[in-house]
Amino acid sequence: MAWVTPKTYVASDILTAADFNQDVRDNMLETETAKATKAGGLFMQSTSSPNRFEVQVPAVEKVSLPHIEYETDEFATPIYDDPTLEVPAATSYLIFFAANQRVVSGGPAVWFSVSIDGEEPSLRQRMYSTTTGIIRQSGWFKASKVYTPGTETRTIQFVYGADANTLGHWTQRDLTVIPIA
Amino acid sequence: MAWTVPITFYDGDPLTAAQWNTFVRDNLNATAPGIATSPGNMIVTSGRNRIAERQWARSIISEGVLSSGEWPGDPDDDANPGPTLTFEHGGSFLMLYDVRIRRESGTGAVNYAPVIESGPGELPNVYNMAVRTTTSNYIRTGSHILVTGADAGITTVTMKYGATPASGGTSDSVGSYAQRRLTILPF
Repeated sequence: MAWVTPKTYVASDILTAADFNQDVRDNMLETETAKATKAGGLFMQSTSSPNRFEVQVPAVEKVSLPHIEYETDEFATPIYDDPTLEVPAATSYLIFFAANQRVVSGGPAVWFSVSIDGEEPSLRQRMYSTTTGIIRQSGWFKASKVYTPGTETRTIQFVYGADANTLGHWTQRDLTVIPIA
Repeated sequence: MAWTVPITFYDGDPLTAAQWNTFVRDNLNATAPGIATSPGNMIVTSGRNRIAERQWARSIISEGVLSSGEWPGDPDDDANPGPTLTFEHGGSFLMLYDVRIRRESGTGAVNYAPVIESGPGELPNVYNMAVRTTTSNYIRTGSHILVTGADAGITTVTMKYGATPASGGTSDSVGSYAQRRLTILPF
């Protein structure tokens, strides 16, 4: 049922069963409490209609070990690898991502980022490093594209890259996603 | 009051006082406006047909500190530990943290991360997700941890510091940390 602006009563109006069912029962079934199904969810205004909430639950995937260490020949194109999350198909996502990263050999730069459904991440979404000492880097962004919500899932995955003839090393990788309805 | 699925009326059914109190009054008191108490808080789900108000928490300590012990530990300066935050959650929370960090001396890495010091249930060891560096120049760097699957309740989190050894070596590094920030979003 969709939300309906409740009727305004005046003196001598009779509250009918139909009025109660629409203005009280059906509207109450559109409140946050009625939509709650399990703990840990956030309420987002639905894009399908006004006066409607969707509940979105943050998701996380951690890959601690083994580390990933890619050979330079593999970097003609970025490498897509774990961590990977299958999340509800929402209109947008708030994405947090982190990893320990370093340049093993070559240089100057290595990077990691996050892809949505296989799209190559833009330069501004990449975490670059030129250091040979290990360093934990963390970034976050709201997906710039507006997606079409639906009932299927969407794949959000780490992406790794490096300059030519550069070997990078990544470990302790963390991907956290908050779908936005 | 707990939420009750609203009754469906049919023509001729009387609306009793008990029905009004259960299906209208109590249910309205279980909605977001019914439970909201403080500006700026979030409303989250806490179970089937249950919602809860959650308060963001943040703490910043500007003073710099050194660490010479093994990670995770308190800084050497007893007067400036933390930051520490105590908060209520429904089993999951997002921790955001960042500091200015550098290795003052030694050969291994220096580290920091928020460590869950008390609270209900089994909570994950954050050792693998600690922010670590081997650089000697100050950099500002931070990270995040989304904790899920914990028991609902009140939890205390404290930022811990210290060294991990270089490969085959000892934890001899001294770390320096400043402008320390910890933010918690409880769900």
